[in-house]
This record gives sequence, structure tokens and C-alpha cells, in this order.
Amino acid sequence: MKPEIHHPTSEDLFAYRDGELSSERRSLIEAHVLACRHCRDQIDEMSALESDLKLRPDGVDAAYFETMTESVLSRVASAPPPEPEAMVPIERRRPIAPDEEFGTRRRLRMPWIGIAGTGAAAVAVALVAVLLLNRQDEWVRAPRPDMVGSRGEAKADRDAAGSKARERRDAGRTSAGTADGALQKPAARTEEKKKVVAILEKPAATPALEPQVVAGSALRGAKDEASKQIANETSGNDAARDIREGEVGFAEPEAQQKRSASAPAPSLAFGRAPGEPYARVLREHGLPVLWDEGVPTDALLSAEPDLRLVYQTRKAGADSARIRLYIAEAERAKIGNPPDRSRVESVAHHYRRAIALARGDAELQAIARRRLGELLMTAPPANAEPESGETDDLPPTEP
Amino acid sequence: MAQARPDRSTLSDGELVRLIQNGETDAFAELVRRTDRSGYRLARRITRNHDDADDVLQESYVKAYRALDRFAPDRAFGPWFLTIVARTALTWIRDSKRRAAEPLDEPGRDGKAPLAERVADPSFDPGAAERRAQVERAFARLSEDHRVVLALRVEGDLPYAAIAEALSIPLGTVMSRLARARESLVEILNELREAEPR
Repeated sequence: MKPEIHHPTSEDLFAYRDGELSSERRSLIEAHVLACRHCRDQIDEMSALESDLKLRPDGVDAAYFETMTESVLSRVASAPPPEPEAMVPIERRRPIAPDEEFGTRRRLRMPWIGIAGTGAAAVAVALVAVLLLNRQDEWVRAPRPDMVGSRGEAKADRDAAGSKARERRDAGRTSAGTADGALQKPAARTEEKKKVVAILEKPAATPALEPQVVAGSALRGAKDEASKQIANETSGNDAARDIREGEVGFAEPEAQQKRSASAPAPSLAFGRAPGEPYARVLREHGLPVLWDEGVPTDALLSAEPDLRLVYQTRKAGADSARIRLYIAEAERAKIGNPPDRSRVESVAHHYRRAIALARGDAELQAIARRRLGELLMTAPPANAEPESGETDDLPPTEP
Repeated sequence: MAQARPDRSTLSDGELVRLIQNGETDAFAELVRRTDRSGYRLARRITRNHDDADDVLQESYVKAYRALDRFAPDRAFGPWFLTIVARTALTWIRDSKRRAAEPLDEPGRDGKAPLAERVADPSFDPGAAERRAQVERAFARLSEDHRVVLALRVEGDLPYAAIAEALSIPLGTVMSRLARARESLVEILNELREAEPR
């Protein structure tokens, strides 16, 4: 009868292969592996699989990394590293010694510190509670927000502006906000815009380490746009008139030619000519270099897969921002009524990336910001505030 | 077009960080150069498409740059940076679940390598690529926890302790989760091989 063989656990076997065992345990497992074909095969199979995973081509070339590096440097150049005291505190952990055994790390070496700390915290809480109770009368006497002059005045101003806008609409305005505005009634839209401005003006819950430069700037842009649009409405300017005019695209389909006939001087929307892969898609679908409101929806939707392909095969180069704007518009055209919030968030994400990628192209940034602002007004996503909790993505402080 | 920068390839990570902290922002380019491919691959593994991986990678560099004062100059920048990539990617995919965006370049369900890969790789070897694609499909079917922990190990080549830090889990959990992930990978691959005989 063969003696029963006890194989090491998978944890031990793979940790041995990864070189993560202590010297004593490693010797033990090694002695078994050398004698056991089954375990050796298991290790070899895993090595082959992981090698296949590693060998998968990443599909990006040096040009991508060059562009990405320049993009990162331009972002960090304008934001020097903050001083240590300005950093948001994050969880500190005791560093792990290289030879430390598993399972010992969470052991509290001096438990009395924890007990004393808890006691001190309880005393502090009790002290604060007593102080607050003593000042209870002051709370009652404190002015409420709507009693404060400036806020009350601002509210009155907004009410007046809202009623003016309503009067103007009642006087015969029929089309507001073009494509996306059709989702809501005009009066409701103004109210919605106010809500968005309020959301955007609300300070972030955490100081945010600014990883979301994109989201932050986009939201700032959206806020500006929302404010501008409310101001425009009160002064009689229709937001829909904010459509950019005079731009001539790479290809000139019929609609585009009509626009260019009234444009003062035909020229590329901005100095850079489009790269060939992008230009080819534009030619095939009769699209301008830079998206505008005149692009027919069917052309937009039929071009979308080709634009995505150009983007994902890393052929986009400097046209990435323009493609992102097109993709945003294509996805936006698919937003239903009532708006699908997840799709709204996806569209907003594409706008933000277009803004971030369009460095130096103020026109594209302005369009993307305006469209993002309009999107958030007509269909605010579930989470309209800048993402919080960014610090969670940072590793703990090094010793 | 990349700017011409002084050759800093002989400097250590710590020396580069000190240069950056003294105002030579350009030195960050060298740190990026040293980690861009591994960072990209890790981000791509977790997000599963180029589009999001690009976003995650850039955000991670910005975060790393802004947190450089917390970086210990006597350590390697790479593992520290990869933990930032992992955390950023995890946040990203958590948020992505609310979006309707479809992955741009997932491995094809038709048994073929992703279109992007076929177009972008001039030395495309159909046989090897199909085998890798099968492993990729098995990898893609892992649970998120398993996928992430295995990506950190395989692409990031991170020690268990660094994975524990990146995922905020105990070392023992890293050890067991990695083992379960690898077992699952083999099981799924065997199922695929039975279902898709070559």
C-alpha cells in the first residue's frame, strides 16, 4: 500500500513559487516540491499561464507613451506638489519588515495604548458635549440662513430673474435649448439650471487632492455656462443662439457648405490639420473636423464605430480630443427620455476627457464645456458633484 | 512631439524625486518613462480597455506627482506608483459600473483576439494570439477580486506586502485570494478548452 501523500496547500505552493515564504517554510515546501511531480506540474502550469498573460501585446506603441507623457507633464507643470501640511491625511500603516511572518502584522504590541487612547477620546467627547449644551441658547438666537440679508436678496434676485424668463417665454418663445432642451418644459428647465448651479457651487466635501483636474475644471466650466445661460435668459438671449458659427470643417457636405456660405472667412477650425485616419472617417461620413450642432444625427451615429476604432487603435494622436467630443455627441444622441442616468454620466465623462485632451485648443474646450454644462442642466447625473474620496487611491505614507 | 530633455537615466528614483521637489518638473518625465508600460498594462488589466486604462494611467501620474512628498526616496518608485494605479483603477471601475459604456477592446467573444490588437500588431501570430486570447477570456471571467489581485501580481510583479497595501487587505488574505484566483483561472480555462476544442 502506498503511503498517503500530503500536498502543501495552494497558498503555500504559490507563495513558494512567488518567493514569499519565510526561509524555514520555504525549505519545507521545497523539499516536497522536489519530490512531488504533481506539485511541480501545478507550478509549471501556473507559470505558463501567467507568462501567456504577460506576453499579451499591450497594443500601444512608443508614440502613445510619448503623447501620454507630454499630457501628464503639461498637467503637473501647472500644479506643483503641495506642501506636506496641505495634503489630505490618509491612513498610516506600520511598514512590514521583509522577513515578517504572515499573521503577525495586526498584533497590537502595546494594548494599553489603545485602551488609554479610547478613554481619552471618550473624555474629550463628553467635554465637547458639555460645552455645546452650555451654548444651546446661542444656537436658538443665531440667525437662520434665510434671515441673512445677502442670501435673502440673492434669492429675491433669482426669483425676479425666473419670473422675467417665464414672461418672455409666455410671450412666444417656442424653441429653447435645441436638441436636449426638448426633454423638459422651459419653466422646469430654468429651475433645473438653478439646481445645477447650486450643486456646482456647493463646495466639495473633501479638499480633493485634485486628481480629477478634468472633472474639476469641467464642472467649473459647466458652472460658468449654467450661470451664463441663466443670465442670458433674463436678458433675452436664447441659449440656443450660442451655436458656434463660421467654422469650416475638413469635409464640406451640403449642410456644411451652406454654413460656410454665410461664414466670414473659410478656414480650419484651428491651426492643426487632422491626421489621416481621422480625416478618412470624416470624409467617409461627411463630417466637419470639429463637431458642431449642424452635424446630422444619422451621420454622427454611423461614424461612431469608425471613430472609436481610430481611437482604440491608437491612430488618433492629436485628434483624440476631437474624437472624444464626437463620441460624446453620439452617445448623447442615444439618451432616452427620461434620460438614462448612466448614459448621461458616460457622456459627461467623454466631455471631460475631451476638455482634458484639448490642451491649447480653446475652441474645442469651450464647446465641450458648454455642452457638458447643457447636459448637466437638462439631465443631471446621479452624482453631479466632483468625485470625493480620491485620497483612497493613494498608497499609505512611506516610512 | 516630445521635448528634448537632459538624459537622467543614470539617476536613481530618489534623486529624480529630489530634482522634482527642487522645481525641475521635467525630471518627472524620467519616472514616467520607467513606469509607463507596467502602469499601462496594470491599468489595462483592471479596466479591460485602452480608453479607461489611458485615463487611469494619467490620473495616477498626476496623483503620484502631487503625493511625491510622501514617497520615501530610498525606495523604488515603481511599486509605489503601481499601488496608486491599482487604487485609481479600482475606483474607476467602481464608477464605470454606473456607466453604460462598453469596453472598447475586450477580447473578442468569437474566439479571436481583440480587433485593436489585430490591427495594431504588425507581427501578429494567429496561433499564439488565439491561445493567449483563450487565457485572456478565462482571465476576464474571473471575479473582480480575483482579477485585480492576479493583475497586481502578474502585471505589477508586486510582492504580497505591496498588494496588501494597495488593496487594504491583510497579507493572509492576499495569499489566499491569489491562490483562489489561480485555481479559478485554471478551472475556467479547462472549461473553455472543453467547450472550444482547438
